[in-house]
Order: sequence, then C-alpha cells, then structure tokens
Amino acid sequence: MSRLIGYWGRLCALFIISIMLILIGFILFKGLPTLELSLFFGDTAPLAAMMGLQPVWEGIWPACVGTLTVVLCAVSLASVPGIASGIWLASAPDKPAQKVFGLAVDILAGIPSILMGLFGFSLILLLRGSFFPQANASLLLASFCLALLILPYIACATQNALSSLPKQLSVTGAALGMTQWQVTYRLLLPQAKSGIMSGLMLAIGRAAEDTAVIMLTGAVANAGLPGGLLQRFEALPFTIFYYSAQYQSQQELNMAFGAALVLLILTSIIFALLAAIVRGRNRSKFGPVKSLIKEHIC
Amino acid sequence: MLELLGQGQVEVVGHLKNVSIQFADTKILRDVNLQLLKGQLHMLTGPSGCGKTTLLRALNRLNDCFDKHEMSGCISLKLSEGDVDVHLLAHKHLPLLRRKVGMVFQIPNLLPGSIIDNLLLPLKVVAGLDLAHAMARCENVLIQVKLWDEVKDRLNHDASSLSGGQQQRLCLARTLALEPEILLLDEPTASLDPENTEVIEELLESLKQQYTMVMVSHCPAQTERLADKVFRLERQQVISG
Amino acid sequence: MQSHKLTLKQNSWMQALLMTLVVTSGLLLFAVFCFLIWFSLPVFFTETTSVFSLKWQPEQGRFGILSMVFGTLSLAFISTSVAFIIALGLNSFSLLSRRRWLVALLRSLLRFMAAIPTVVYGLAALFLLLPLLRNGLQLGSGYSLFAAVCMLILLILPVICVMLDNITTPLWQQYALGAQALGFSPEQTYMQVILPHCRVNIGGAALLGFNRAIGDTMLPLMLAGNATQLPSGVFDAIRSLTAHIALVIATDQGGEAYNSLFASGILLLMCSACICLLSRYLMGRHRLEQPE
Repeated sequence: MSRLIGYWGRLCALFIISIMLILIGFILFKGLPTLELSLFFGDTAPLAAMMGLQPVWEGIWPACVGTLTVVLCAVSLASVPGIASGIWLASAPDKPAQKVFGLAVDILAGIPSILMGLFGFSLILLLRGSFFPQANASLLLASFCLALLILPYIACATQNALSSLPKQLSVTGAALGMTQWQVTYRLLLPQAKSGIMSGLMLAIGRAAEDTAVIMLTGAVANAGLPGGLLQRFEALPFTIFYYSAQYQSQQELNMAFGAALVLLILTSIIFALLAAIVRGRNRSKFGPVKSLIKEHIC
Repeated sequence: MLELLGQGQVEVVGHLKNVSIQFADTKILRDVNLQLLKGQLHMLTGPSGCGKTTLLRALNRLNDCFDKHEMSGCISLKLSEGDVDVHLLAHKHLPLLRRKVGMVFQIPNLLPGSIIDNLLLPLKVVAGLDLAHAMARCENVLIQVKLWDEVKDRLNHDASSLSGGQQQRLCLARTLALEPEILLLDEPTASLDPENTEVIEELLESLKQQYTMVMVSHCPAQTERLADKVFRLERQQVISG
Repeated sequence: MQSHKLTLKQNSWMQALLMTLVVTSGLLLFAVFCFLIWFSLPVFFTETTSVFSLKWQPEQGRFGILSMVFGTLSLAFISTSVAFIIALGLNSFSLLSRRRWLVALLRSLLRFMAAIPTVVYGLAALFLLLPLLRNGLQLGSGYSLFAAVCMLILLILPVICVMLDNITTPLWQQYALGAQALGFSPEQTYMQVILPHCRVNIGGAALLGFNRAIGDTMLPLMLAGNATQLPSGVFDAIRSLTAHIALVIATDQGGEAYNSLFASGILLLMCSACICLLSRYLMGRHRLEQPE
C-alpha cells in the first residue's frame, strides 16, 4: 500500500513540470513576438520618450518606469527600519517586547495584501476629513503602503540571518571590550550580509509583482511617466490586469502579454540573484562539497 | 577454537570476491576477499577511517542509500532462501535482504515513538505480523536481551527515556525480532560504559551459535574476547589475522 | 583612535537611532491594525443595514457580504486540500526518488513558481484555461470557482511544499538510514515512520497555504466571475472578499457600501491573524524560513 505514494509522487512531479512548461511556454509564445521597441514606446521616438520630452501612448515604458520608481521608493522606505527591526528582534529573542513585536510582524507578513491597500484607502479618508483635504491616491501613498507590506519580510530575513550566527561571535566581541553597537555593526552585520541581501531581494520581488496594493493607492492605466510624488502613476502589474480585462484591440492585448513577459523577466532576474546569494552562502558555510562525503564513511 | 575444527567442517555462508567500493572519486576499498563461516563471529579491525563500516554496509547494501556510490566485485550470501548474489539484487528486493541481514549501529538509532512502538512498527510493516504474534515475539526478544524486566512496566514510555545501554539493547532486540540470519554490528559498544559493554558482550556470546555475526570493533581486548575470526583492514585491503 | 567616551557616546546614539526606527515601524504596523478596526466599528454598532446577510444589491440598499465570505472560504478550502495532497506527493518524490537531478530541478522549479507574479498566472489562465472551459467543456462564460481554484492551487503549492521540505528533510536524515537497515522500503519509511511523526507540523504547513489562499486578490478578481451569489456547483461564478474590496473601491460607490468594505477587511484580518497564530503553534520551531 505504501508503494502508492511512490506512484503518486511521480505523477505529481510529472504533472507540475508539464503544467509549468505549458504556462511559461504560453507566456513566452504570446509575449516574445511583441518584444520590440514599439511595445515600449508606441509611436514615440525612444530617445525622446526616455528623456521625458514626449509622452508615450500605447507603450509600456511609463509602466516600466513607474514600477521601478515605486519599488525603489518602497524599498528605500522599508529597508532601514526593516533591518533595524530585525536587529532588535534578534538581539534578545526571549524578552516579552520582542516576542510581541515578532508576533505582530509575523501576522502582518501573512495578511492579505489588499488589506494594505485598504489601509491606504482609509488613510486617504482620514486625511480628507482632517487636515489635508486634497489627499488622494498617489505615488507617495502607494510606496508607503508597499513599504509596510514588505517591512515584515526584511525584518524576518534579518532576524533569521542574525539568529543563525554562532553565539560565540557576539560573546567574543563583548569580551574584547566592544560596545553592543560595535559588535552589531562590525562583527554581526557583515557575517549576516547574505541573509539580509536575500531578504531585500525577496522584498524587491514582492513589491514589483504586487497588484492589489497599488491598484487601490495610485496605479492607473494611463498616467504617463511618474509626474511626482503626489501624482498617480502607471505600473506593470496593473497594466497587465487592466488590458487583460479591458482590451479593445489586438494591439492592446499584445501589450498585456508583452508587459507580462517583461515583468516575468524582471522577477526571474531577481529570483536568479536570490539563488546566487543563497548558493554563495551555503558554499561558504559548508566548505567544498567533497568534505561532506567523508562523514558517511567509516 | 577454529584451529581444532579445521575450516572444511564449518559451512561457508558468505563470500566476498574482489570487492572494490568508492564514493565519488575516493576509493575506500580495493579488491577485498573474504569468507564468512556459519555461526562464527567475524571481527573487522583496523585504524579508523579505513573502510570497516563501508565493508559492513556492503553486506546489506546500505551503501546504496548514499550518493555517488560505486561497487564492483561479487558478494554472495547463503540464506535460507538459497544463494543470494547481493551485488546483483534489484532495488525492490533490498528490504527483504536487510530483514535477513540485520544491523546494529554504533549509536542507538531509535525510531520515533514509545519503546513498544520501536518493536511493533518493524514487525508490522517489515515482517507483516498481526498484533498478537507481534506482541508475543516482542516479549520473547526482550527477555532474550535481558531488557524485559526493566521495561515491562513502561512499554508506552518514550524510547529516548531509556539509558544508553538500554537503548542499544532495545535496538538489538528490534533487529533480533525480525529473525535475521546474519547480524552486522557496527561498534555496538562504542558509546557505552564498561558495565553495559559487558552486558552486550555476554549477549553476543550467547547468540553466537544461532547467528553468523560480522562485527567492527576498535577495542583489541574486545576482539580477543569475542572473535572467532579476525580480519584486519589496512590501506583499503583485508589482511586475514 | 577614538577615546572611550566618544565610543560610548556613539554607542548610545546608534542604539537610540535603532530604537527610534524600531518604534516607528512598530507604531506604523500597529496603525494598520488600528485603522482597520476603527473603520469597521460602525459596522457593528449601527444596525441600519445588516452587512452580514446574503444579498448584495446596492441599489436596493442591501449590503450583505455573506455570499462573498462563502466564496472566499470555498475557494480556500478546495484549493488548499488539493494543493496539500499534491504537495505531499511532491515531498515524497523529492525524498524517495533516486533521480537526484530531477529532484533538484523540481526544487528549483517550485521556488521559481513562488517568484512568478500572480497577474501573470491570471493572464495565462485567462487565455488558456478559460477558453478551454468555455469552448471545450461548454460551461458558460468560463469564469468560475473552478478556474480560480486551478490557478490558486499553483499559487499556494510552493508555499506548502517549501514548508513540508523543511519539516520532513531533517526527519529523513535522522531516521531513514536506520529504518532502511531494518528492512523498511523507502516508501514505507516515508509513510509509516516519517509522516506519522510530524502530523501536527504538517497541519501547520497546510494552514499557511490556506492563509495564502484566502489572501489572494488578483486570481479571484480575474477568474472567478465576481457574481455575488452562492455557488450551486464548482462551475458557478463567485466573488471573494478580497475581490469585493477591490471592486467596491474601484467603482467608487461611497457611503453605505464602504461599511461592507471594512467589514470584509476586519473579517479577513481576524481570520488571517488566527490562522497565523494557530499555524505557528502547530509548526513549532519549523516556521523559520521565508514568510511567503
């Protein structure tokens, strides 16, 4: 009877690999033919469009810039507080304050992302009712909400990276007469660098692909290049969603597929960087692979 | 003892011919030739890291569980089913081989669960016994390893609550319960104190006539006490001692 | 060489900076909870229109979200159950298979699946799965619970698989050799030794997948049809709570409808928080890795 699990396992593996090949293949099939300058810039001259001299209609360049801008803003807002939170959480994991904060971070890492968008929305309502009646959905609000979304990821990754360092390290630093900050900054953080980097990569990937938050806080289908922090903006995920639901011509549909391919390539690059960081970390931790074999013999 | 009998009168139950084993690019054993005799305790000795455990594990094909393992040569064992070419066995026959060629590890490798679970689970899954027969065999085998009186009141307690010596005896009982024909023992007393070592050694002495045993030991005194035949491993080769 | 006093001063400055950042983050995160709770209070304290009813007809003043709750729950239960069974299969494959190169490929594929944007899954399903349902199986417009469930399974599969991996791999390393030496086949080792031992932890992993399933917005929004009805079968259209929030804000209905928004929000928040806590408890010390 236990043999059934062997067959089921093989079936599942086959199933998953073929489904993913079909899905990715389909996106490539539909998206690759659209990958040319007109996908990005429409009828506008590329150089003029990139300089911002002429507006781009029917092109996804503004969405690309919009995505990069909002991700950059979100990550710069969230990275330092996130790393600081992670350091604090790892410094004394058993104290009640850290436990409560850790719990809150954990819960927030798991809540539906649309709730962050709802939070942004309620922020607008509050501001409109009080001292900022012009409050509206904007790049600033979207970056802020995205930053809150990715903060838990950065904090958790930093905490894990620091916790997995040997206790010996901080004890040695203290014994040498280093202050706590010196131990953290000069001994612990450099060792945990790859863990923190992978947390940041994860956060970047999450911010780039999220649609629900930006949909409610500032992304629109046609806003041109990001005009400023208080303006609305375009973003790749939203463009894909918008045109997939409301395309009026084959060309608009092609834009959706092209945008999907571009976003997929972007997240794949981030994924590859993440994998490289993890592999580099494992290699330095375990030494050359040969030494593993020795443990099994005699 | 062996000199009086003369080798021709004791049955040969195992044969290793030109066995070479390597993991990835590291050669562990080269052209090992051995004969195993029925009812005898064969001792493998030698410096640490020289391949004793690997040789032991070749007999029940446990080396297959590790990556990049290559073995050449011929291993054949005479079991109640007949002559078995161990080196040729297909993957699906290995569980049966390992039931007939039981192994006791250096560090007690308990299964998760209670004391009685450790005995019942293999009997149910590997030997296919029903509960009544399994319980009877458990009791017999625990009496055989002299553990019954110590554990009969706490069979449902977690197995890790036993002392080191008791755990090792439990592992031995578990292996014996499956009724093997050949016993492989990888330094069974290495992690035990002298008293428990003595208990295990007495046990092994009493099992000698029933089972053919192949044992690895680091301790020359133990070798002298228990062994009927000694093989010394040096530089990837076996020198009969 | 810094004087000792300077070093101490620097230390206290940096510690103060660290605490400021931590307190700011803490307050902001706390604010998220507060806002959502504050704005949903009117729902519970004004009895004008009941938000916890089955009918959603804004023109007639009915703002019941219960059909959306049912939509979310059915979506999550079905996709989590199927994904869990598939994840167990994949987990057993990665431990038992002797083709290690295939296992490595599968592992990388699963992690890559987690990196694929949700909209891309939605887009692919929109033009692959829906036409199949529409034309091939003649099932109406194709927008249905079934379509959303199919893609949701692919979405939460990596989550459950990675967690299962973290749970079963150390157990395999601890017990597999001894069990196989006793004569257990690898399959028997997996089913009879490993799985029974980590039942509770695996439950926690499944809960994580469930949490992800109730929280997704784009797949139900794009694929499930957004009809505010109780489905009579798996091929009916439904609306999830998350899609409801997105639609109400997008269509800017104002006033009464907003109550339903925040009611949905607080329901999702409470549900997600409880599942998170329960899953932490069940998984014990295995809940290290990425909080995806």
